[in-house]
Formats: sequence, C-alpha cells, structure tokens
Amino acid sequence: MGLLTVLKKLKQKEKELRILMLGLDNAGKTTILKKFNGEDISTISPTLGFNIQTLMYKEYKLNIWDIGGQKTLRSYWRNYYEENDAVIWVIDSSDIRRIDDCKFELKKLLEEEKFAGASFLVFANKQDLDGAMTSEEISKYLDLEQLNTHHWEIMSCSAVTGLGLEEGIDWVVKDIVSRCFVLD
Amino acid sequence: MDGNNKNDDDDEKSKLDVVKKQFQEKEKQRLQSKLEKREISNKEQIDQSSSNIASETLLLINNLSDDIESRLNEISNYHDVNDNKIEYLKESYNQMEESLSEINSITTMSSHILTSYDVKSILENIDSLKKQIDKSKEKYMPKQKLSLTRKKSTKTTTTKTSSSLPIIDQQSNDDIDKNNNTVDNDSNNNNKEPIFNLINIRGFKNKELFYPPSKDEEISSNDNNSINDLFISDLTDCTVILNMKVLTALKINNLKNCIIRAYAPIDGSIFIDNCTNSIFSLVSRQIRIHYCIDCQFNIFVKSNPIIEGSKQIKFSSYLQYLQLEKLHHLVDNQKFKEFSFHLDSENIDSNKWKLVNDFDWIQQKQSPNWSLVE
Repeated sequence: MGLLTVLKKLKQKEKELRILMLGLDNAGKTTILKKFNGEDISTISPTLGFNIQTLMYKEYKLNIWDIGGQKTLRSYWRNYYEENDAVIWVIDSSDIRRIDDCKFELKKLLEEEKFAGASFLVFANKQDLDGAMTSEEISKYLDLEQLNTHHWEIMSCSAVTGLGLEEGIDWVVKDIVSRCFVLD
Repeated sequence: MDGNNKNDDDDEKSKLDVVKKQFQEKEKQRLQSKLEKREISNKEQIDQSSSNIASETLLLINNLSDDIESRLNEISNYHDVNDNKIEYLKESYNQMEESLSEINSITTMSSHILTSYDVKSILENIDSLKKQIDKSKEKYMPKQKLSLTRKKSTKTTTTKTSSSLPIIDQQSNDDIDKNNNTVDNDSNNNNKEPIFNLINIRGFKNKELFYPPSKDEEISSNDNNSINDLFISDLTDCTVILNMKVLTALKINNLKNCIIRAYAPIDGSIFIDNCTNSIFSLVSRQIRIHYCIDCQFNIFVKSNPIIEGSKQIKFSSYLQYLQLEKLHHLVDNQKFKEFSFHLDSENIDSNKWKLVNDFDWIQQKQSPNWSLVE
C-alpha cells in the first residue's frame, strides 16, 4: 500500500475532528494521550517533534496532534495552526516557577487568528502532585475569566490517575459538535 | 527416550538456527541499504537546490515507510513459526518504530522545505502506519503484562500538608523540615490554601541537606512518604541526599557546584534547569535537562534523556557511578523494585541512560554537547 492509497482511504471520513494539543514541555501532553488511549505511560520519552493519535470517542473520530513543548520546538508550533476544531492547552499545575512562561505562550496562542472559532480547553494536569495549584488558582492567574474570544473551559486532571481526562475530552467534543454539526 | 528427546532438541535448535540466520541476514541487508540510501541523500543534499532537497527528503521518507510496510508483510507471512520468533518480532517492531520516529523527526526538521500538502500526507501516512503496526503487534505479539501502576495513598493524607510555605515570599533560610509538621490540622481544608504552595529546598549555601530531614524521622516518618513532589532550587556548594520512599515529580533549578543524590526512585519526571558544575545521581521514568553547563548525570531512566540548550554534559550509569564512589551499599534494590525499577539486572531500561536526545543537534553524528563517561 503506497502513500496515495493510504491517503485516499483516509479521505473518506466524516465526523472527524482535528484537535491540537499544546503546552510547555513536561506538562504531560503525551501522557494524557496515552493514558486516555489505555497505553502504558511509564516509558514515555520527551516528545521530539510530535505524535498523532486517533481516538474514537462516541461516534466521533478525534485526530489529536500532540506537539512537543520544548523551547526549541515552540517556533514550529504555528505549522500546525490550520483547521483545528479545538485546542487543548496542557499545564503542569505544580510548575509554579514557569507559570509566567506558560501565561506568555498561552496569550500568544489566543491572539492567533487561525484559532478563531476553535474550542479551547485548558487541562490543569498533575493534580495528583502535592504542590499542584487548583484549577481556580490557575484560571485566576492566567486571566481566563477575561477570555471572550473563544468557548473555553478549564478542567482539573491527572494523567497518572486518569482523573478528569474523559470529562475534558467530552467537553471538547460536545462543544465542537454544538457549533459545527446540525443534528440529524 | 533420552536419545529421542535429544534428537528433538537438536531438531528444534537447528530450526531455530536457520530462522535466526535468516533474520540476521535480512537485518544486515536492511541496515546496509538504509545506510547507502542515507549516504546518497546526504551527499546529494550538499549541492542541491531546495526543491531537490525536498524531493530527496520525500524519497527518504518513502523508503522508510516502504521498509515498514515490507516488515509488516513479512510478519504476517511468518506467523506460523512458533514462539522462537518472539525475539525477532520484537526486534522487527523496534526497527519499525525507529523508522517511524525517524520519519517523524525528518518531517519536523524539514517542514520548512516541504509543501504543506506533503507534510499533511506524510503525517497521515505516519498515522496509518502506526495503526498498522499496533494492529499487527496486537495480533502477533503475546500480550505483555502492563507494568505496575502505582497505588495512590489515601487522599486525606496526601492533601497539601505544606500550607505554611508560600514560595513567592519565602526567603527560605530556614530548615526544610517544617514542611512535614502541619498534617494534622487542616487535612480537609485544602481549598482554602493560599495560592502557590510548594514543598521546596531552596536558597542554601555550602550545606549538606537531607530529605526527609533525618532528625525529624521518628516523628513524621509517615508524612514523609505522603509528599510526592519536590522542588530544589538556588543552591550553591551544597550536597542534597534524597532518601524518601518515592517521589512522583522532581524539579531542580539554578544550582552551582552541587551534588544531588537520590537513594529512592522518582516514579515520574525530573525537570532540571539552569545548573552548572554539578553532579546528579538519580533514578526516574523521565529526565529533561535544560540550560545546564558542565554537569554529570549518573542516571537510570526508563525513557530517553533529553538535553536542550546545554553544554559539557556527561552521562554515566547510576549504579556504576555509585560503585565507583563506593556508595552502592546505600542503594536498596528492593526499594527500587517496588516501583519496577530493576537496577541490578540487565533489562530493556538498562541502557536508556546512554540514548540521549539533544534538541539542539539534529544530525546523525554524535552531538558535541554531551558525552558518556568512559
């Protein structure tokens, strides 16, 4: 099977959602994906480039793009900005030292016009850690309340325990669907 | 009887040998053609216009993906051989995953010369290959036992016990052991915490520090185990010995001339930033090293270590280093095994410490920023 055949096969699709997952390095993006997909999370290397995971959730096919968050990779982020239905921003809730970096990158992202109309979920990850800030604290610090350009939601979660992951994905899917699909 | 058995055994063995040879032969051929292709494309890339580079890159990617597909086909043809082939299957899947990640990185690194259509197609192709590999794995590989998931201790004891330490205002010249004393008071009250709590060891000069603090051990040995998250920062000329039960996360920032040594596993990630001339001996699932200069890392890790913005970094094996320093008697292997870190036996994690990825070095040859300790 060559590249083209694969492509053609993939073209015949419906109810397919494209979701971009970003955040600083060490936020737990890949771990969230793997955990949600039921894979082993104990041997994940820092993402060199990106991963793509396709998940079936209810009757929707989610193409989730997990882009590495290292400083060196952040300038490549904008290569992935086209045609996303939703953006998931992942935060290491225990990383107080870099919360300002996080705020800065998030602000840049939110100003990006290519995301106009995309749903916006913030995962306050690593809630299993004792030093984790709560989602309320984070929301306050990142000025999320002021955000009126997107549908947004913040969700506490822990990729290690699985807490909150499904609720988050559920919100994303429901929000996209309520905007994009007419019920049939 | 014995003779028969022996014959059977011999038979088995010779069969096995044949299969082994076949596989080895194939691996050799593959490797050679891979190298040749790479060499050709390397040579050609030197004096080509960017559009040619793009098509070469595409060719390279195509070759890799063809390779994966042919392996997949092969495996589906091989499936009637018995369990002798597990080794080869493993090898084959490893190779495939390697190729896939190579495609992945080539694509990222050359995304500026490829058209966005190409990138998109490649990505979709990667996706589909990955699925095929997973499917084939599921079909032909025996089910692996999932590695251990950690049992969480009860939430009431793990709630934030450190309410007295708002990091932002803290000048922190006090002792570190005060973290552990407040557990009884407000274990149900964690919503009312001030913003930004963190357990931390911070702001010391020329000291030897122990975590958990040894003089407190009798009083609060239970509490120590419930704290799973540690932040070490702004130390100069210090030695820090970590000897808790386990941590889930460790963050380190801004150390100079320090020694950090853990006699317990970090069953999660380690994030190290802005350190100079320091020596770290650590065991963890993941380790990220950023903006460090002239540091040595003696580690056992379950995934590839990465460095970014760093120079003069040396890597060594955790156990070997401690043996060298005559400190290995302080390592309790059982303690590590409990969290499935098998330090003392040869296994798939034993050599991960050598497989360092440097985010500032995309070439095939060795990065000048790090080296292994001889």
